Amino acid sequence: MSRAFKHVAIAAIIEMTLVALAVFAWRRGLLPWLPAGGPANVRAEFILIWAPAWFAVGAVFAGRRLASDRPRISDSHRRFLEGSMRVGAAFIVAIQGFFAYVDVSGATFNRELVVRGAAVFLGLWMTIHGNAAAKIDPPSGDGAPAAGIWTRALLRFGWIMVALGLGLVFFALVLPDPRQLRPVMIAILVVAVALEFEYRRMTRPGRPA
Amino acid sequence: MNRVFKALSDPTRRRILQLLRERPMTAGELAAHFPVHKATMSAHFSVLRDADLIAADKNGKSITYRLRLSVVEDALLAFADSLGLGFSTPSPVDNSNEEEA
Repeated sequence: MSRAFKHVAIAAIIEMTLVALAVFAWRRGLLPWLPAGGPANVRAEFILIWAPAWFAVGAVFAGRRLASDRPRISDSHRRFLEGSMRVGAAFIVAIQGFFAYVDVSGATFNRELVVRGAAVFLGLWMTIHGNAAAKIDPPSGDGAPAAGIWTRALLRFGWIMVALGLGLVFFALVLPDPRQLRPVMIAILVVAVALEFEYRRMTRPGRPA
Repeated sequence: MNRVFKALSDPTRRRILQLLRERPMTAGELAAHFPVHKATMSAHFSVLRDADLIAADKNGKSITYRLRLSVVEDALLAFADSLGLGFSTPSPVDNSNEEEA
């Protein structure tokens, strides 16, 4: 893990944790010099708590992958993972900041627009990353798959990610009710977990190349 | 992107990419599939490398090429193949009587 990436991840986690703590302290009257807040927005508070936790889990996961030496990941793979995490950090900090603002100010917002916007962003992110993923160089060392196996698998992963990303953008724009996006998101999550297991199987230490 | 289009416009280079889809190959293994001069093959490899469609790993004296396609480039390759681009015109780097690979 590069020092720059570590700094970005730690700064994002600290910023989001402080935002969540500040909102909770204010909501519970622990900041008496500020005017008391109104009733809490349960959905916003849920996002405030979980945003830093989700990101921390993702950062730990990415950090372990970056530090892996069985097999040792390539430089292009390292750049890909760190780039993904930087975009992820910016996205989750923005989302948490938005919901903190909504919770504190009591502002109303068009929930449908936010859900659709987030789904479109996620879909585009998956499409761009799926396209680039296919170009990642193979790992080396113990557990590294043969270059041909790696290339074919990554191209297949890339196509799946691009198809899912474009599908998500399409459904986010055309489904009449944004709640209908839930099964689409669950399907994407299931496929992402399956791809991760496939990656682990492919790079298992000790397997023949 | 111009480099990618240029690289994919030639049927020999597309055939090289299709061969590399199976497995990485040395320059010699690839050249064995084409009845063309070594220099012509080198020019094709150079165009593909400039477009970042293949990567070259040097092992001693031999160079092993492997595929390095993004999803969009893979789609363009399939599209160019389906249209048969470049079959009617000679390749700019190929001056031999190259048969279709």
